[in-house]
Amino acid sequence: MPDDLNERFARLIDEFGARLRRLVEMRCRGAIDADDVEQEVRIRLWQALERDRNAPFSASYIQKAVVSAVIDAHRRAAVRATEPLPEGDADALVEPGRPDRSASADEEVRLLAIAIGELPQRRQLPLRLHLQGFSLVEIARLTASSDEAVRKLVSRGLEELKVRLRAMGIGDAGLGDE
Amino acid sequence: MSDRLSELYRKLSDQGAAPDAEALARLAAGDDLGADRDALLAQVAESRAAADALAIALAISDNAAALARAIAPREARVDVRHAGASYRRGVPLPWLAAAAAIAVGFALMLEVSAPVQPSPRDVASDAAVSPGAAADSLSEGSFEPTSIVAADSFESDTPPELFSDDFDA
Repeated sequence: MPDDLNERFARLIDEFGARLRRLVEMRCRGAIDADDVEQEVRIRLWQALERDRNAPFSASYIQKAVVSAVIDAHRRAAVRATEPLPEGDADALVEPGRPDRSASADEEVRLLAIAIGELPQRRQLPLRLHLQGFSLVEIARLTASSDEAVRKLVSRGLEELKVRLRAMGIGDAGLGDE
Repeated sequence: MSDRLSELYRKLSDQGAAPDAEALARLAAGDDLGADRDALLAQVAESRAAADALAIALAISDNAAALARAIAPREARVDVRHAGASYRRGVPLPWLAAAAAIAVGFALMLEVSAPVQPSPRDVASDAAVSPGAAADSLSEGSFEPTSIVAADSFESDTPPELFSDDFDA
């Protein structure tokens, strides 16, 4: 690569890396190390360039490098000891005044899985994606549905889920609706 | 939406197996995955790692496109070179064109040099001529003694022009 192109590429990859780091920090909230992800992506891109200078270098290829780095970081984090929920968070799940129906955080997770599984099939995927943090617009795009259809499916799915969870003993405190 | 619910769900999907990175990148790029899309999305929904990876890939797609464009001049040079190669492969070669031209010329030459076949009309008109006057084209020629050989006789009164110069003079 000529020097000017090298410089331009280096500058862009710096900008790209900074944005990637911010996104990982925002999205993953400490679950994985943003610096590690950024460094990994940089290395993969440079290695790809060095390996084959004439290889097509598309946006999709760069996205693949990002996806791989994030997934690998999650795998590394999973290998490490799973941290228990902080004590305060676990307490928040306990319905005040109903200690007999309180549950540990793990139990809450188990009940949540059951409750989601009982929802109508068509509402499950949009709702799961929403709970994973995707916006309604992103879900609509991913599922090739209209924004309005996704909004209805997620909204009704959420309401129904909350009703089911309350019935299982997970109160509004646990759902954060106070 | 309750953040707490989302947090619980993400904990639930902590152990979910992430799908292939290539497939996720294609999903992020908006490629048509056909029937595989729903299964892939279900995996994303059940895997925190996949969901994070896909969400970040979606969010960074503009930057990825800019980065890819930064390398575009390098790609363009490659494309031109490849395009040239394919052009040479795609267009008939000059020697092939020359060979075709020679073949056409040869065919024309054969046609011109072939013996002339009288057309039925010509035959009919010949038959209309009286039998006495019938003669082939060769016999129609005149062989009068004014032929060049006879005219060039050295016994002629006027010498041929070639010999008009008197070298002995």
